[in-house]
Amino acid sequence: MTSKNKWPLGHIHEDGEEYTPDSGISIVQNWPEAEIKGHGVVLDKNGNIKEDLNGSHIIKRGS
Amino acid sequence: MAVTLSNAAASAAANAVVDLLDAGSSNANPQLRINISGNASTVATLNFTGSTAFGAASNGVATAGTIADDTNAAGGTAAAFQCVDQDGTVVFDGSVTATGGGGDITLSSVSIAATDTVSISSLTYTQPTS
Repeated sequence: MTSKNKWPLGHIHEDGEEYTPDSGISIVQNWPEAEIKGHGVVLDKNGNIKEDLNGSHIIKRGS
Repeated sequence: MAVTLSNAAASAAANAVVDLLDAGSSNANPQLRINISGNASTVATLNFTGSTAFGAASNGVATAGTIADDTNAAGGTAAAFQCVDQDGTVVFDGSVTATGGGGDITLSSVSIAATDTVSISSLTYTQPTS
């Protein structure tokens, strides 16, 4: 009996089944994770800076 | 074993991502959308000025160009953001928290009322080398 494991990569058996070797090798591309950093400010309709500090309160711009 | 990139490769990777924001055929500007949790609705919409959202990356860091304020926010509790191209296709997204909250974008307040002004003072996209 012929062993499929002797077939070269990509060989297709006469029954149509493609041989996929189990090389025992796995490659994991562990890419460094991208980082996004942004900062912004929210102003109310009077131009005051809104801040959340242990809740939410409003301070005057420049104070 | 983690992959380690050269500075040039990291910059190329960062450019490849941020340049996707410049794609599209609608002639609208790329946008940064501040959304409620789950991106279910938009709290504020800020336009990147011009059709090029980010400058060329250096050492893996791409810095956004000028982003116009949204001076008439829709309002809501900000929790997420999306950066979209000229056709509105999302390129990348992330979290929004109040300053000190550890979000990808931090705002002075996540409690945004209708007609509030939302201003993004800095935005960078970094592809680390390792």
